[in-house]
Amino acid sequence: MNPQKREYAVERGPSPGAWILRGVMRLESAEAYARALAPLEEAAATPGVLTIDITSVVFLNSSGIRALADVLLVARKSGAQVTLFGSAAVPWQKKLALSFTGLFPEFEIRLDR
Amino acid sequence: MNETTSVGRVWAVPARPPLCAISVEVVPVDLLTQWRRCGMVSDSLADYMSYAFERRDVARSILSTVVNELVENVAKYSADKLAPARLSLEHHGASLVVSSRSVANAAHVGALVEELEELAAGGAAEVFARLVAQRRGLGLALVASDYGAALGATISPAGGGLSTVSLTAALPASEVEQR
Repeated sequence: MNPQKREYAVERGPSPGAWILRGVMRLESAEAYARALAPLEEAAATPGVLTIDITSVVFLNSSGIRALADVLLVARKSGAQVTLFGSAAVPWQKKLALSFTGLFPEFEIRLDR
Repeated sequence: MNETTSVGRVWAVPARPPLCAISVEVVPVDLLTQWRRCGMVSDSLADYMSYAFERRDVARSILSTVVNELVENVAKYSADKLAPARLSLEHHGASLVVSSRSVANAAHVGALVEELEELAAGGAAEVFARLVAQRRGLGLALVASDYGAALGATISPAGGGLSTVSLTAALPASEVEQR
C-alpha cells in the first residue's frame, strides 16, 4: 500500500510561540486531531505568547474546530496570551472568528482583509 | 421507535421541484476505510451546486463545509456500515437543503433527538458554546449556529431495533453566498 501524502501541516512559525497550520484538515476524529495538534496544545499549556495562523487552512471540519477550541481552553487555563490569525477571504474562518470572539473574549482573534 | 416521528425543524418539501439538485448513494464502510472520500463527496456536491450562484467560490466553500458534516455523520453513526446511505443537496430558491438518509441505532437516535430539540428551541449559539466547554462533538450545532441552518429529522422504524433517519439542514441562500 502506498503511504498517503498528508493534506495538512502543523509547523512552527518564524518567531517564538508562533504556529502555522496549512492545507485541508478534515481528520476523522478528535483523537486524530489530538495527535496532529499535540505540539500546539503543549505550547498552549505554557504561560506566554502563542500565535496561531490558520489563514492557509482551506478546510477545517467540526472535529478540527473542536480541537482548536480545546487548544484555546488549555491556553485559558495556563494563562497564555493567544492571538489567532484568520482570513476574511475564507468563509468558514469568518464564521469561526465570530464564534471564537464570543467564546474566548480574552484572546485576540484577527482577520486579515 | 414504533412509528415514524419528526423532530426539530423538519424541512417541508415544497410542491415545486428544486431549481437544481444532486444526490449520491454511498456505502458507509467505504467512507471509513478511506476517510478522504468524505471530503470528495462533499466537494463534488458543493462544486456541482456552486454553479447556481454568482459568488461561486464562496458558495462552494460554505456548501462543502455543511455537506461534509452530514457525510461524516453518516460514516460514523450508520449502524449498518454496509447499508447504502443517501446524501443530497437541493436548491429551492430561498433555501438550500442538505439531507442524508441512513440507518442508526437507538443510542444515536436518542442523542440526535435531544440535540435537534435543543437546537429547535432556538439556542444554537448556546448549544455550540456548551458543547465547546464540554469538549463534545460540534457538527450539527456548528451548522445551525454558524450557518443559520434549520435542522430536523424524520425517524422511521427499520427493524431489529434500528431506525431510518432522514436528516435535513435547510440553509438560507443568502447565507450560502455570505450576502
